[in-house]
Amino acid sequence: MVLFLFLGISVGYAANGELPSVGKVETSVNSSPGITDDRSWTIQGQVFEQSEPPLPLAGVNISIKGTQLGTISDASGYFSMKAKRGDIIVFTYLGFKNYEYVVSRAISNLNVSLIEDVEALDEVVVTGFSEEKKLNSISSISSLDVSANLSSKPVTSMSQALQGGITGLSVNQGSGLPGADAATIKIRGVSSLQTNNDPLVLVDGVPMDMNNLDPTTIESVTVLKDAAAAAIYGARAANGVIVIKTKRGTPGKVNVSYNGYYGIQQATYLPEFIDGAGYMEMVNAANVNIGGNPVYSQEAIDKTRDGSDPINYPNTNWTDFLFKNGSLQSHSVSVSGGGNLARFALTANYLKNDGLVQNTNSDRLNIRANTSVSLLDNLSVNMDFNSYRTNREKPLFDNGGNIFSYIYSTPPNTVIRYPMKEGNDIVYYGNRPEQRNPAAILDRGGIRTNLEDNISINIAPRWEVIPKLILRGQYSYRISSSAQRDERKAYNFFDYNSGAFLQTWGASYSASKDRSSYYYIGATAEYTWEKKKHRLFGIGGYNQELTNNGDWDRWSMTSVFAKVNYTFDRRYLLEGTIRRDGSSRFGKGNKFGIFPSIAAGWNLHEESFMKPLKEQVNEFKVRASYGLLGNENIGLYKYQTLIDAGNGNETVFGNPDITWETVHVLNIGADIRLFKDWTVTFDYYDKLTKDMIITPPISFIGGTSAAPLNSGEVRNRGWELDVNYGKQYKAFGFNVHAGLSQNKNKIESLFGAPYDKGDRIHQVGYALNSYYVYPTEGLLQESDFTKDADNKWVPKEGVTIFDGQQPGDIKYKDVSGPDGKPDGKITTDDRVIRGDDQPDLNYFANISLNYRKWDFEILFQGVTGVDAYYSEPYSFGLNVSGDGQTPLAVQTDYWTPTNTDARYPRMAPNSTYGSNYHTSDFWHFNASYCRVKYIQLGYTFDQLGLKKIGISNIRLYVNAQNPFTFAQEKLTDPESRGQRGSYPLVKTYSAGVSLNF
Amino acid sequence: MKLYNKINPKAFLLTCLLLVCSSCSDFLEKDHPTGVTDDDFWKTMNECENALGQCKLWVKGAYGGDELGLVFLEGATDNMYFQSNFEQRIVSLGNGSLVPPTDNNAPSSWESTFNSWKNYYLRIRRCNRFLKFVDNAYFADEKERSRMKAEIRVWRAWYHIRLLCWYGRNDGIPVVDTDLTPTEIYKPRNTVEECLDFINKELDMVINSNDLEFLWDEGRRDRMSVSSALALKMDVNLQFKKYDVAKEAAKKLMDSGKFELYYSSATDDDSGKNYRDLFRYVGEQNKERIMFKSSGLDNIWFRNMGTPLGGQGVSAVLKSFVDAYETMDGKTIQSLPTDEKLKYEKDPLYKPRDPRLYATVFLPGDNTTISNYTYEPFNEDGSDYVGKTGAVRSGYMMKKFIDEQDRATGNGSLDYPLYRYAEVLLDYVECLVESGDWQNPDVEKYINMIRHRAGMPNMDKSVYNTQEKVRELYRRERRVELCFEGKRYDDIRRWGIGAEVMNGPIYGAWNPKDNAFVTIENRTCTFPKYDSWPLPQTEVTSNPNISQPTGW
Repeated sequence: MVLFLFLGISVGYAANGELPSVGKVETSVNSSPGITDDRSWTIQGQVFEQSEPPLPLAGVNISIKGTQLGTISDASGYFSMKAKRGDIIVFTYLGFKNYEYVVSRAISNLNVSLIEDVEALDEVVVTGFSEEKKLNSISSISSLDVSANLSSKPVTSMSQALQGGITGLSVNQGSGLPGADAATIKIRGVSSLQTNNDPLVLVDGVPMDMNNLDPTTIESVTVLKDAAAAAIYGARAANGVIVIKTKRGTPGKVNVSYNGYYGIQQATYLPEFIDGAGYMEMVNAANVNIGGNPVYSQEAIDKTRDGSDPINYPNTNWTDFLFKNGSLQSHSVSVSGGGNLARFALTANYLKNDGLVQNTNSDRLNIRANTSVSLLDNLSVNMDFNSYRTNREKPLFDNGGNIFSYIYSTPPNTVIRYPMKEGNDIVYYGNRPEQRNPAAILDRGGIRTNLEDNISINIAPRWEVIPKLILRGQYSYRISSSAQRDERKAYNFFDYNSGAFLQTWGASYSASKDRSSYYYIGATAEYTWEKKKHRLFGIGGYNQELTNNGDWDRWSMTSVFAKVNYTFDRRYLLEGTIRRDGSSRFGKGNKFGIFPSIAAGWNLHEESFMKPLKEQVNEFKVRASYGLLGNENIGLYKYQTLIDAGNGNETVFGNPDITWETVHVLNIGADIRLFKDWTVTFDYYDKLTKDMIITPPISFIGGTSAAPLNSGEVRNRGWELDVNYGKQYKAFGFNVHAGLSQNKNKIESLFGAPYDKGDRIHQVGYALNSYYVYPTEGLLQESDFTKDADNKWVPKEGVTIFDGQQPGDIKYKDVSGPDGKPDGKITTDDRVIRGDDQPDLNYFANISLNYRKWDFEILFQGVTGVDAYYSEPYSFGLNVSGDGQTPLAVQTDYWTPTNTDARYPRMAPNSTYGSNYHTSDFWHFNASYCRVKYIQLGYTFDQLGLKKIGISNIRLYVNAQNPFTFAQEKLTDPESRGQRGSYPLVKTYSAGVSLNF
Repeated sequence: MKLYNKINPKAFLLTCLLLVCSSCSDFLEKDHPTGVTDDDFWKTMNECENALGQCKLWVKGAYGGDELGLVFLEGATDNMYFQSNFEQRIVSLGNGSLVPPTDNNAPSSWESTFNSWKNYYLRIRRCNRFLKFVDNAYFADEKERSRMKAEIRVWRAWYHIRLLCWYGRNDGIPVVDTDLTPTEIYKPRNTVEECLDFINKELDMVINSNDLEFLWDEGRRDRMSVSSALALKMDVNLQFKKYDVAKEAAKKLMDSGKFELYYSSATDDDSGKNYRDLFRYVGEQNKERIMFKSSGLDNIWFRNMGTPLGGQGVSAVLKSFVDAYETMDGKTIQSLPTDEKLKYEKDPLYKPRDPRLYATVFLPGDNTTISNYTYEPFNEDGSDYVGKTGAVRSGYMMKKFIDEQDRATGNGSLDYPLYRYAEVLLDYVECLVESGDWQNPDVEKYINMIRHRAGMPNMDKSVYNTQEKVRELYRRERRVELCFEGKRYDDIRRWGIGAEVMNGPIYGAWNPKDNAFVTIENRTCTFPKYDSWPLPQTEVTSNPNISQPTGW
């Protein structure tokens, strides 16, 4: 019966379509001299259009390359022909790309799917729940070039791959720690104070963390930036939406491929500490400066410097001790194929990352099976299965700081491990407070192991009830569980010199777990109506979802939405979207929010007056949209006021009236394509967040905590420019893709402003979280002081200092006081707003070249206008109290009466002496940078000989990730701005191979 | 083929529709799984007992989370220099470089001292809520209800006392006796007088009722009692020079007959054994103590001892304190000829000294206190060498509260005295002297009681024969007797001697290698600024009705 139906449809299709003429046949016979096998085999199969579900193609011209032998597919796409081993069968059909198949044996079920060769304007873009032709789209949408940013790049977390390639995105990686190296993504600025500003990420329609996806399974990544595009996701779209689709199987022969690489990792930046002798001299100088006596004798310093007695006078480079090269490897095997009844794509990926530090590693096994089954010719179901297991390991010790912070605190004149003594197996470590020697932490501090299991299934039926009326359903269910195990064996520490017992680190074994489940169910109906010059597309739907997390934390949403897109004469476009969301995160009466948007567009190039310019201006669309988006991600139970059921302590101070944040987005843009090869996209936007949720700072006197409020407005305004130019000649091709985006963030109003957070502030008229620092003018000099009878430094008239400041300390400016006027004192009133850490400009440029079988790619990515401030020890280096802190090598340029124009203030045992620790513009640095994100060089072997042994091609490549950084800043990575205790970002040098069978 | 037939499009639609409709409004009701409200909670005696437990925040000797470690706070006095990886701001409090904590340099979880403002007002709120709701619960025994309420009043008063002494010695603090609503929390300071009135009124209410025992039996000693209320009343009124009130409270404690000075039953011939054993396990349970924090010295060994004994070496005793001990015959070394004085300074036990010195401080070369251990702060190869991390910075290491029994664990369970009878006697003496009654025979009697217990001769009446001289004596006696018990910090402020003792260089022991005393740092505390701690900057910025204390 199915066969019959297909037949009917195919006949209809064939009747409508024009039967293609037989393609021009080349006369020069490309003989294959190496072939001795002369048997003639029967090749049978079916040809489809590559779509989901696939449609048979009738009338496809099928011929053996270099001959006139051939056939034409029948009404159902079937064909049968004879060919010899080594023959190349070419499938040709007007409007589709050619497909070649190399014969190696007889085959009775050769499925071939042809890909439509579409005009740029007819390209389909992913928009929310549906897809649209580019011509009809009025949204601000960007797609990631998956092949450039993901394929064969050593990307451990998907979010890293979004850096460079899409305008309007600010992507920032803070750490390279294996398994915790995801980047934060901000789309068009920071629009909320309370929430994390992460965009909504949908993978095959379901919200999900993108970082554990296997990059090799990604088909497309689309970023929805304006309200027209995102409003259909209403309540969670305020920070933008990223729509990710995974690869599905297409009809065709079973395709098996392997993709693997191996790489070496190094830190981009590492701290360079002062050596042992220099450290001792600095400590002595510090003690003398506070009126104490030197700690180290000159003899000890000399012995440390000459290295003659490394046991008693050690000189340790802790950075070298801790950081080695890491490694990264990934292996993917995928199998895909299928026919008219079912298609599948199965991928298994194993990723292993050994970090720069011993016991710091992660691995991940990812398996995805995407299956599509056609039940009827108009009813198909996608059934997808995805699972991953991640394992992570890191040094356990985090008592007062992790191991990375202890290399900053352990002085260089500390022994790593003393030599073993005869007759016992005790390892003696250089003495440290509580034995926190990095070597001891590494050897004896134990290991923390984390694992996470995640399984999700996704079932999505699609039913075309009548032509162009499509019903879709989706059910998705995901469970994840994670577990943690800490292991530390007991160890007794002894003093190397006296042999005395020092301390025990007790045994510590513990394990814990967490779990969560999530389901999503939804349905949409869409219909396209076309009559003469009118085209109307409408979609509506419903979905609900529920998360059940941890012990019994639950949150849920229900949503209904509708969208209508109208096109008149391919020229005028109009679109309206509305969504109503209900969220359990709000109290009664506030659970529902409505988020509408409207958009209008004009395809100028379709106008008759533009026709003469058709060759120059291929596409020119102007568009505008306005809409509301919501943010419900405010945490749980914020509307309730609760006390602990066990002891009556107040645990949550709620606000029963708390409601949605709404973001009002205006977008004006243009999509332009000139001379076929130039595409330019420009967007201007103005995003205003209203009812921003804030928790104001409050007095401690009541003993209460603040409840969140809806009050405050913040505006993000900016523009984006994306330019692409590419050309392909016969043997040589190139493509240049560049983007530039600017965003300005400003608080428009804020209840109870300013919110003073010490060195940061939220103030009306400034960016969120602006730096709030003391202005300075260099260092105090002896000429700023006189000495009194007790030999104490007294500031001269007009010189204002903090109590206890001396020559060589930072000279703060008295710019204000309690009455807004300089008051002759340095107080918190003197702080001024100086910049913020959101970049002014984000830019990237991707250049790719190919020449014959060589390909070369490079991506530059950078930011400008990022303000940053050093914290210790990058600011003031030394601290001899507490667990200590070691200065950097550059900090020997400290103030002394003879080195008066030093970069660093006078030495002191810590930065509180002389009040040098305040965040002040003395410690400002410019975190702008331009980074080569990757350089890749590849070579493809696709010789005929390979094909005959069943390998269609092999690509070998070498890749360098983050190899070069151009920045003014030299001490720390300007991207992560990681300082004390952070795991550095990494450079990866890798080589890999892709094999297709 | 049959299979495909079975899929009924209508059924599919119906299913979808059903799914849509099944989402009733309950689906969006997801309240906190275990959170309850006050209406649900305050029902039983047991719940009230649990809530009472949450109202308590002790102070202790060693380090302990939100509980202040008073031994280490002594680092902000002329008795000690404190150097550690916790409570690091005590150094700044001692040398005059402290600034108000802002959000970016907010006290870490290892710095409870400078979180006290927040911590105490949080406990005050819990007390207020307790008093508001306790009457809703069912109590089988009404006496228990009044006992709990009375205890809460003492706790609440104690929090106000601590806040007043630390944050508002000159300016007062906001008195809070109700659970404030969010709009009421922006309170101004009450004057010192208003604060004292409130505290006295609350304590009197307890003292004059029978809701609490005068002194609970050993098993229930962590409950507040009438005697603790009296001790608090005595202390706070002394701090603010309300000598009559303080004296009256002290007298009630003395007259109760419940307390006496501790004498050791040890049979060795150490003349300081009474004082020594009072702070060791052997004398832990005694009739001298009025209020104490049970196991309040639980990590003193680890914190206090130097690296060779597995510790952090945080408490560096200062030369100024060691020099305060009299010679065995009751003379101060300051009254001796210069060369004689210098000999004592270089070697504190050059000739017999007040036995309390040996019981309180490890002097360089001490090899008799801990078995197989010699304290060698000037041996450059040893881990106790001054200047090394984990070594005591001054060359004098604290010995009080150190019991070798704790060596094995590095921790311990010694109780920390908060108020003991000796303090009551000294307070009483101070009240007499300062109110002009310095010739009262009680002055001599009680000073001698304390000196006698310590193994010292009676006060020399030929020397201490004016109000000025007697004041000098009781002040020195108090510094020596109550050292490291958290008293010196307040004494300096009450006596107004901060400008004198909290300025200039601080020294440790005589370093024979350098031929000089260890010099640690130069202190420059200004007063009245350093009479009070600065408020967290957040308080001042968010509360328009309050400002930093005088001088800040």
